[in-house]
Amino acid sequence: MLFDKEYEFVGKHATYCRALKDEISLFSTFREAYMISAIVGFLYGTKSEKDTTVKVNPASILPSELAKQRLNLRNIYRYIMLLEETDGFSIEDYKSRTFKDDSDDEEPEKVKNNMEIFNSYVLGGIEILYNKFKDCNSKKDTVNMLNEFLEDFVQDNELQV
Amino acid sequence: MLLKSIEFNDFRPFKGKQRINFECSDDKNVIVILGNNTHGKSTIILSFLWCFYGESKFERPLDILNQTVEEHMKPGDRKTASVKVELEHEGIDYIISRYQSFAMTYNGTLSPNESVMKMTYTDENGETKPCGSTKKELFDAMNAIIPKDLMPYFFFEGEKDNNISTKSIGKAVRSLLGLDTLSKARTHLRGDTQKVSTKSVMGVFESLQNETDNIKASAEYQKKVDAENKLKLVSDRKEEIETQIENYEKKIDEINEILRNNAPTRELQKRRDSIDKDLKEERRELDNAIARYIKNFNNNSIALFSVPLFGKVKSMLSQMDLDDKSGIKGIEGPAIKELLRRGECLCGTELKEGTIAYRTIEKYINILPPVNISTSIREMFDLMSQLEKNCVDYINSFRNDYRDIQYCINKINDLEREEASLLFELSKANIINADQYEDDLRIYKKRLSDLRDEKDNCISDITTLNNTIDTATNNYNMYKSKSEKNKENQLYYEYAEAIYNWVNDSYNKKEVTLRTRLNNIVTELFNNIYSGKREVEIDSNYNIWVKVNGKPLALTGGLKIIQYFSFVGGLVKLAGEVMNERNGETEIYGEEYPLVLDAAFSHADENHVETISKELSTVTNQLVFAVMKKDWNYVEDGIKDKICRVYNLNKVNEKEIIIEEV
Repeated sequence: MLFDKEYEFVGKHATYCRALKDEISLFSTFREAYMISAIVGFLYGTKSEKDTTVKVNPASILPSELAKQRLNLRNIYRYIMLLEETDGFSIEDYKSRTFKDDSDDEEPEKVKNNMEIFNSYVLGGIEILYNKFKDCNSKKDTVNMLNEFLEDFVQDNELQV
Repeated sequence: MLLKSIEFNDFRPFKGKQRINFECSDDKNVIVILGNNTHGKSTIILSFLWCFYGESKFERPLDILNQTVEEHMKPGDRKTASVKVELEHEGIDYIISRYQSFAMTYNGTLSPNESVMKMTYTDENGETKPCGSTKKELFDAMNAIIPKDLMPYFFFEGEKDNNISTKSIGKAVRSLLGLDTLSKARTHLRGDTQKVSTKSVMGVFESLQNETDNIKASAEYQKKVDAENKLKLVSDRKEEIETQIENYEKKIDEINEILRNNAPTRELQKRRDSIDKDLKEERRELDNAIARYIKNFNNNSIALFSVPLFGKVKSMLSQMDLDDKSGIKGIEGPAIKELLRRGECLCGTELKEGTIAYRTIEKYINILPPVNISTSIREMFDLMSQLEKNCVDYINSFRNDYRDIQYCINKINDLEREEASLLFELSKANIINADQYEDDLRIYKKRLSDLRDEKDNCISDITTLNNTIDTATNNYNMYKSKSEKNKENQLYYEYAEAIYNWVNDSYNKKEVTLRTRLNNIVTELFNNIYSGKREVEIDSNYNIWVKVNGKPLALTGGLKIIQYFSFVGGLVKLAGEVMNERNGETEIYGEEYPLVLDAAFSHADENHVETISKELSTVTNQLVFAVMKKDWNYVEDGIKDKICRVYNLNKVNEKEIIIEEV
């Protein structure tokens, strides 16, 4: 089952994640940071790899915490699996990766590969957000920066209401 | 004083005029009156007292008029009874008469008038002159010759049984001493009892001294002093309070002035406080809005971020081949496999391999994800529609929230600007702590109110204390005045006591002296009569003891008589001495005195009667001896040579006695 295992931000991502939550106050929990970073990373086409260069306390998210956002996480997972362009993939492959791999107990490697793609976007998203908000020194700064970010996003994606 | 005669006129048993002549020569000084019992011996002796002082000591004191005379009186008749005594005193002849007239009333009763005394003397020219006209003058003249108190010792009625009562001896001694006066003075001053008599002088002054007045005066004085001390304290406190009130009023005025002057600044300060409060509120509101904004981002931004992907997602999904088979929304293949493994459908139907139910359920594996993803794709379309709607909601809400945040920020900025401006103005003003002043004002007003209450209490206390002082002063003066009277009475009491002590000492000394003298005379007479040596002692209680070798003798009839006549003789001798001493005579026996004596010798033997008579004749200058006829022979033997004249009392009947010279 998807998102039934503990996830740990490590290295610089742990630092970024903690800063975004505790200092910048952008996220309420690591779980929200994980979820929003995933879609932000994918939207901005930014992936990153686990950082093993810095030894810091990991920022862990327990399976029980992930379970509370499982529906949103699975949807984001499906968007990524569906839209992540992969060389040589037919429409049927995209279909299987999106809807079947996570239910196929007989091929766990496929789900693992899929999650690596997903998590690489999470790390990329964390980096984007950290770089965006790292200079915010107050909640007011954070809100202003976030609002700018959202309004730009709305603007850029023509989401006018 | 020597008696010359006595004359009775219708006086008691002596009807008509009857006379006894007492005139004697120097060597024959005894007049004998013979008479048995009830023959008038006592009447003769007591008639001297009646004549001299109007005092009737007879058995029937009112029977002055002879009864025979009285019996012969007719209604309206008047008769007079009288006694006339002629005597010589200090060379002058006196005639003392007493008359008492009686009238017979028409109802047959005798009406007596008051007795009347006459006293005359014969002067050097032989003329008869009255000794006085008033009762007092006559009394004083008589008293100068023979005092009334000493009458009984010269005119001795005697005792029928020859008993000498200690009472009569004591009384005799006191009379002789003039101690009656002293005794009366003692009684008058102190009373007879051990305790001071309330009726005596000392008792009266003692009762007039009211110690409680002193105590009350002291108490009132103390009350006055206490009240004055308290008044001073209260008055001082009142002054203190007035000063404090003045100070507080001044302080309150000062604070009011400061607050009035500070009013504009105070308004600025108030506005600043209000801004401060609003700022806090807005900042809290801003914090809430920011929290809301962030929370909204965390919870709902997924829709916003998802929507831009939906175009590509839908494009991809539309390329996928969807079969017609309808799955069950929300249920996937593994759930169906689980039901088959359990062997029971959700509706409770048994799912046994090979049964229709089993096969019906089993076919869903191929039309549900992951075997058939058509359901998932259809669900995804539904979800995207929902998210598109959520995205719009989210955009609206984060914009609203942001507006709220901006509003708060603007408001805060405005308030902060205003506050800065106020602070600038306040920095120019002389800023005071008005709250502190107002707190002080409240405290001072409360203290002022308390002080005014206390001052009212002080004024009330002062009025009360002044009243207390006035009352205490009045009471003190009243009790003090009484107390001063007390002191006066105390002084009088002390004077009375001193006089009493002086009188008492004098009394006691004189009594002892005279008792000793009497004792000596009586002893001498006793031993002369008894012809032996006996000790006679008159003790302090006037008991007469005849002793041998210090031991009292039991007295027989004879000794008793000797004792009696020794006493009588001793008494008359002492009385004579005292009379002369009183008159200032230094030589004893300077004046001569008679002894008129009713002598009862009933129990005496003949020898003793003789010696008694003899001794009595030696102790006085004139002895009038009333004796019973049966004793006469023995008496005669003793005083034969001294007898001047003998009278016999001849009893005619019970109402009449005739005096006959023998």
